[in-house]
Amino acid sequence: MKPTNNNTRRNFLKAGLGVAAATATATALHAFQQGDTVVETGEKVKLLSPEGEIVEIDKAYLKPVPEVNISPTAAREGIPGRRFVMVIDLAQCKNLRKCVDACDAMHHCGAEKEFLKVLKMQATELATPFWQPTMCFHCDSPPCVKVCPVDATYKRSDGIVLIDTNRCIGCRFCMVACPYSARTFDWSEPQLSEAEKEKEKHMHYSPETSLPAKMGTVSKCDFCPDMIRKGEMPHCVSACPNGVYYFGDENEDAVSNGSETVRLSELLRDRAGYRFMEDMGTKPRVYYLPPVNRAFPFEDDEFTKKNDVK
Amino acid sequence: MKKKASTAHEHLSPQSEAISRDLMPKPFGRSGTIWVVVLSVIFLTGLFFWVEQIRNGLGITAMRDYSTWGIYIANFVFFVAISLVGSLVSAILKLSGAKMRTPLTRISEMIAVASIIFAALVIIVDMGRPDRFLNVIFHARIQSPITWDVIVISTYLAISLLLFYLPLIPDLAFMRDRMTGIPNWQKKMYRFLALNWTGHPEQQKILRRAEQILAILIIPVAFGIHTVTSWLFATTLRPGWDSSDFGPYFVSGAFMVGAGGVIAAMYIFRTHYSNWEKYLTDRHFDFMGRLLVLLSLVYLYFNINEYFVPAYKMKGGEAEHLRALFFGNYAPLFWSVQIFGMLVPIVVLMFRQGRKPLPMFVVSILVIVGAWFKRFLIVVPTLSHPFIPMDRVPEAWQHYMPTFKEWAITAGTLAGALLIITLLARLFPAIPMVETIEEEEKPESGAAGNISRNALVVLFLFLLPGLSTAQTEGDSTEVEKPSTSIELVFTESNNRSKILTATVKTKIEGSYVGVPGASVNFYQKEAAPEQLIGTATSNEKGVATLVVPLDKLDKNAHKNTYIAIFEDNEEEITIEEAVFEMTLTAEDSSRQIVVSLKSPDEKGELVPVKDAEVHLYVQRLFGLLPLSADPETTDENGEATAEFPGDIPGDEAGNLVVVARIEEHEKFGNLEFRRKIPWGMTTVIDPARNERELWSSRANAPLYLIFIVNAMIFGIWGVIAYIVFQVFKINKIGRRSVV
Repeated sequence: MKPTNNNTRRNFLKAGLGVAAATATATALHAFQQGDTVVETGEKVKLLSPEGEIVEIDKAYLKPVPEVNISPTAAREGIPGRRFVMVIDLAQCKNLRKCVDACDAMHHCGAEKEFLKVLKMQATELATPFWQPTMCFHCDSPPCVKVCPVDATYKRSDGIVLIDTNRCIGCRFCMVACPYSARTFDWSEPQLSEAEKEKEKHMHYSPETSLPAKMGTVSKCDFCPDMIRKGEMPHCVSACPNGVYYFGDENEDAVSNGSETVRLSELLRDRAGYRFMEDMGTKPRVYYLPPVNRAFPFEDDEFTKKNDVK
Repeated sequence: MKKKASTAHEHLSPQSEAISRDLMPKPFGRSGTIWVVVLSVIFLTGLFFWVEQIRNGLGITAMRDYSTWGIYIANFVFFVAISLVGSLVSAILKLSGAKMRTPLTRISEMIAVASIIFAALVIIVDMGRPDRFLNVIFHARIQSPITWDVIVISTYLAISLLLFYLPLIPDLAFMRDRMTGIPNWQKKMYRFLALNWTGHPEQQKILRRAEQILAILIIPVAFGIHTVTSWLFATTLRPGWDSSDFGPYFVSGAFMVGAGGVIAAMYIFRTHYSNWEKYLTDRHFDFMGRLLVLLSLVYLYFNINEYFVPAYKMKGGEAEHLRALFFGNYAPLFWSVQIFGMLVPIVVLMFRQGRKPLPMFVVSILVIVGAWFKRFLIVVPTLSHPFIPMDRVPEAWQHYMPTFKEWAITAGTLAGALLIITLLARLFPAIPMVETIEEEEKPESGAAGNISRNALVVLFLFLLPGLSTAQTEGDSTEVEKPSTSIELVFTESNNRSKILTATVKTKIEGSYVGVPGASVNFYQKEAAPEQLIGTATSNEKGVATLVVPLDKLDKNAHKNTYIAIFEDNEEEITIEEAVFEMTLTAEDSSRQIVVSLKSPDEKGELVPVKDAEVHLYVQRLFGLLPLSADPETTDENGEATAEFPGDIPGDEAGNLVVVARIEEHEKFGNLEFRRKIPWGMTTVIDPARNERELWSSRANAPLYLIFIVNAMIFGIWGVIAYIVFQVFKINKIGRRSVV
């Protein structure tokens, strides 16, 4: 027995991931092409469609998706139809560093690496300093990708710049080419905690998670495509309690910071959004909202340098 | 002397006999043996640490994420630079007809071959994954300057080897015929390499032509190799590198250090071998001295351009970089290099007395050492001044100070290159024999100069130990006794699905965090086992979701009570039935969404609900985009109307999902109605990924690049293949004439 509302089902499958949140299942749907032969089990599963309908689907139409299984080859294709974009509201950042902690934990950064930095910036001497999170800007004209001799780092159709550490030869030209110092290198064998080692044991390498890291290769912020595929936002975005980070799809003209969803074009227009070092011509996919009308006074912190424990 | 004249197929004058006796390769003497042993020890030490580096990673160096290139790259640039001497002497001097060049060509080609081999090796040493070296061929991306460098270095190596080998053929035949008392393998090697050379006029003609072609061919390749090497820096956006005259700046510096290298080698050979002052005369030194002054002046000119022009402007990042060079922590090295490595040589060599062999040797050492540290100053300081502040990074990362192992590996490569030169000079005459004899027999003689007997100055590199220690932070935080809470939310969607969402939270370090994996029991009416309607486990955010099974509810009840329980946390909500609907109206350009809210009264008849706040959203990837800032309010008919804006992007077909919601209503909880409508703007999927851009994948390389690079490869390698073919022809002619 085929699902009664074929149209609904197909649209649902098309809209795909990210909306079926109401059903707490660890499964996601794989798009079935018409004509695919599926042997139905007769066992029905209830799912919530994006239109809010409960649809009953035979279990055979569901394919369990393991946590990550995007192979290095598959990771070269972007998520179809998307152009991911990030907006960082500097007026809201008080250097809580929740984003850094979440990022470090998820990417097993250890003491030596930092995909995401929160920097103390000051435009001029008279201006108050402010905190500026920086990471890979996933530029539309990426100088790092330009110089890669082996196609190890690449720009995807969804705007994300990734690194295939199975391919990388460790020449570090990309690190030199990136004016934002966004890239890091595994100078030695990555230092992992026991829990991280245990987790990596069961992992297949994917450029979408940047894990497990390999000695002698380059890594960096990856915009967490593994989370996006699950319909969730990158770890830094969801970790920030102050809504500093907005993330979304430029094609949808909308970004969310976890608590609110706003139109990207309006946000950038009304809040005078800008991109860091625009004159570099790199066309970053990360925008900043200027640190005006700040939510918090600037407080310099007693933070000990990450790796400077003597 | 080992050399014994044998019966040759040609008669030599006594003078020529003396020349051949002087120039024949000789076994190492005592100083030669010490020299080789010392170099071997340094080389093997470097090799030892390189093996350690392969095993433990580049972490044994002082390079870190900011100073990501260090002395390996500086050393690479140095090797490439000094290799240009081959083209300078063999090609430029040859084509310009300089008579002086004959005794210099072989020496310079030896230096060129040795340094280009080590340039290639050093770049492998610098790679994080040397095991993947072949990726640069199998996955070559033609847009990358590294790919160009790989192409041009291998081309230059091939041409340099040919330029070393072709003029050597007559000498090889000479040694084949006249050298005795040498091991059999050496004899066999000379015989094999001499290609049946008989000096046949046709052979001579082919050889001369091939040499001429190579001499012309190597000039653009030599310019190419160092220009491309300069582009490894100049194609980036970094202060100090972002310069348009880096190519000529590098090429001029390369010719200068190359000339310095030849002078140093000339002096060492001259003092080491007896009678060589007859061949490497003071006039040759004078000539090379004048040449070095000229080249140094050109380099000075480029230095002025390279430093003065940006210093005049003092633009942002450049200013920081230049201040560090001129006055900062790099200033002592910078001024030493500029003064002793460039200005002092120019001044000394301006004077006739300065162009005597010994002062020339000292000057050439200054030039070489200065050139090496100049490469250091080009590579390292720029990376110490990134655009974004080096905030919160370890002290050791901010100041690059090479480690002992790094120095040892670098010294090993330098020793290795010297070792190759030494071994080449051991096996092959460092001064072309046959050519010198031929020139001797012509009525023209070189003036003999004074002999300078001085001890060799040994070059030491300062070995600076660098330390970088990394320790991990032991972190222990007091965990407060957690206090847990539960929140229950009811949501009805499209009047059909009733969903209960319980959020379990706990207080950690003053803030509430979701409890994942909490098993929440949902009940209706009361918390009794028979009223259990389902159990759900919370996700990583602490949210447990249950789709209420409608068959378990009392269909006639207008009110339902739901209870969520997790351990001793409990929350109860009471929800009234409601009908929440959305209709669409479209007239001309006005598109409206009408939402209605009705609730059954006691009799079960639907009555409009007034003054309920209705929020309208569009579903986006990560959330709901509000259509307006303020919610609409239902009127006495229970209806609310909103205009739908025309500029919201939908999918490729213009479809989007509109969501109407009543949020946290005191009676109805959350009501939601979702509907897919074709009112969005159609999204045009960016076709940019198929464009042929510099940042595209290797499959989408720009066509002009593919064309230019391939044309150059095929053009130049075609000529190289032609030359190799000529080599076989020489062999064939020789075999024929012997028979």
